[in-house]
Amino acid sequence: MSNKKLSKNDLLKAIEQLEKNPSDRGKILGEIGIAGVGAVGAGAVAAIAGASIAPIPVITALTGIGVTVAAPVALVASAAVVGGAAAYGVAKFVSNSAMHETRRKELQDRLKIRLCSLEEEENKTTLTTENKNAFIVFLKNPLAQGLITTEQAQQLIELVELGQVSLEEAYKLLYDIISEDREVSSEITS
Amino acid sequence: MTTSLPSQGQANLQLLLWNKSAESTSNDDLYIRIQRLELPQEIVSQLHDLTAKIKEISGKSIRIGKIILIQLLDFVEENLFLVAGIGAGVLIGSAIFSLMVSVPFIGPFLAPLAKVIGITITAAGAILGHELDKKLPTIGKSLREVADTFFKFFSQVLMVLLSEKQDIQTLPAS
Repeated sequence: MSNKKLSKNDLLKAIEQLEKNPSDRGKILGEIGIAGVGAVGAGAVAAIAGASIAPIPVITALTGIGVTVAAPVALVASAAVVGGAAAYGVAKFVSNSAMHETRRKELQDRLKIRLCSLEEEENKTTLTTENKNAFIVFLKNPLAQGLITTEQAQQLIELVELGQVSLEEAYKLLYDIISEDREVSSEITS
Repeated sequence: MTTSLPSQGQANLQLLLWNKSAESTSNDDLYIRIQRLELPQEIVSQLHDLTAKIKEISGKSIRIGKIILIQLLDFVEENLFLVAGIGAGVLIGSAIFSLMVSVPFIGPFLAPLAKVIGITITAAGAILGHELDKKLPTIGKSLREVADTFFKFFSQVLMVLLSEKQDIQTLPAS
């Protein structure tokens, strides 16, 4: 997976752009680092052919001296192959109580309707640009409300784009997260 | 109240993302990354063996060994500067120590590797890092803290998914 490091605002803006101009999806997805199958293949080839790994520029904890080494293209490419794995430790989830109950209910209902219609359509249609766009736009609210991280949203978009995760599975995962959030919130308020 | 602990759904999502990332990473790529660390051959061999380990979590087959290996390699590559002149083996040792302490179910997967590196698991289940402490008497502890921080989210996700499994197993039949 080749996710460009984005801020939450960057991704939300990109999703809004896609919502307004679905025809620009190639450009918009490219800007957020999701270029599709071709780019991933190129990354893998570069990594296999790549030079030795250079240390990442950092300030050492022991000496306090910054060790800056220019990252070669191969390093960047191999990092792309590994995916957005670098920020495991920094994912943060916003407090459940921050989300308004009615808004959550609305989000959950919309998701339920979409899941039902997807199940119906599954046998007769393949993945279309329209329903892929609809999925990306749907991510806006869970992302804005901190239910998923920017990195998770990016990776999900990419996996759906590549056809490695079905829309149905992706929606179900989101549905579970939103439903769970409601349960916790109900427990707190009751 | 703000909590950093992922929910069940969030943990499931994250595991799916890690698993997909593991599936799309070739074993050859990982082997090249391992070779670059210039580790003793027996550690290389144990690390590479991880790529074949699969575990069922939440009803799905998860390439847990490969996921752990990618995490280990990310950790070592990010922190190699910490042990300049000592070697990547010490970093791997601190990572394994951290993972085995925080996620008990990982123990069986990592036991052969831990043995080669010199981490001792006592009969009572306690984990002792004798070799690590011998090699790094002064910075061994801080290195383990670096590892704990790096693997915190990873450990939390696995623990959330594991606790769900345990709950199901301990529920009464009625």
